[in-house]
Amino acid sequence: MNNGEFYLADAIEVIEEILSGGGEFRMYPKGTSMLPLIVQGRDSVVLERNFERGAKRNDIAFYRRDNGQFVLHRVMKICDDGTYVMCGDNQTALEYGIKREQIIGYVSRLYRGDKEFSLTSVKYRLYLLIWCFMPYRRLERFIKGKLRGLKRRMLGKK
Amino acid sequence: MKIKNGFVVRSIAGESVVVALGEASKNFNGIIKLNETGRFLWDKLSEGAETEELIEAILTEYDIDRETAEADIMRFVDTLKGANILE
Repeated sequence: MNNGEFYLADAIEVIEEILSGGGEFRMYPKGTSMLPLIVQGRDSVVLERNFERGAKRNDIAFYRRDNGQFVLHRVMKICDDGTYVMCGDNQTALEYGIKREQIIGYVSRLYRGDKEFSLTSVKYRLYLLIWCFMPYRRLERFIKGKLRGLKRRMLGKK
Repeated sequence: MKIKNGFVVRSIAGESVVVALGEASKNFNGIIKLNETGRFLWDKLSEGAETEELIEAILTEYDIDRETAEADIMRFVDTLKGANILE
């Protein structure tokens, strides 16, 4: 644990207290699963929780898995039974069955360093439209994989 | 000096931290860690202590000279003012 950092498991009670009281909480996500949107070490997100609004499709939600893991992934779909389907922006496998009570908050603002990256901007909407359209992402992954394979064969590497 | 409404001390992994609740969190949405002395000063501040009272309290509680105490307290108070926590 470095200066100013806490393990989420230790801080979660305080974070939930802040959010459930209508407050905001800023955190610095770790990992690569929300690339290319959220870069570890550069970006931070402000979380919020509004019980009436709830997390909506395309929201980036912060939730707790049944195994205790904390995850920041995008809501791809809300099913008829009220459960959520989640996926990281850098992933193609969907995660089903996330219940409403597992969701701790959702991202209301995103910061690149000190600068806010607007979640209502045209740039972000285009990103949602293209990158967050799963068939596109799968196709992109497929082509990239093929190109890598081709390159390997041409260079004669195994 | 007074700590603004909404700023509270909580404990995370055994450490004292300052967080903002409710409206206060709109302008301050992080965590400030307090060390032992920081916690001591925070408690005095939440009772409405002024700078001179803080210095006296520190001198009574800790074995340090007045000059060091004053400098440390000013730094602490400036940090809180900078974060808009004191009014």
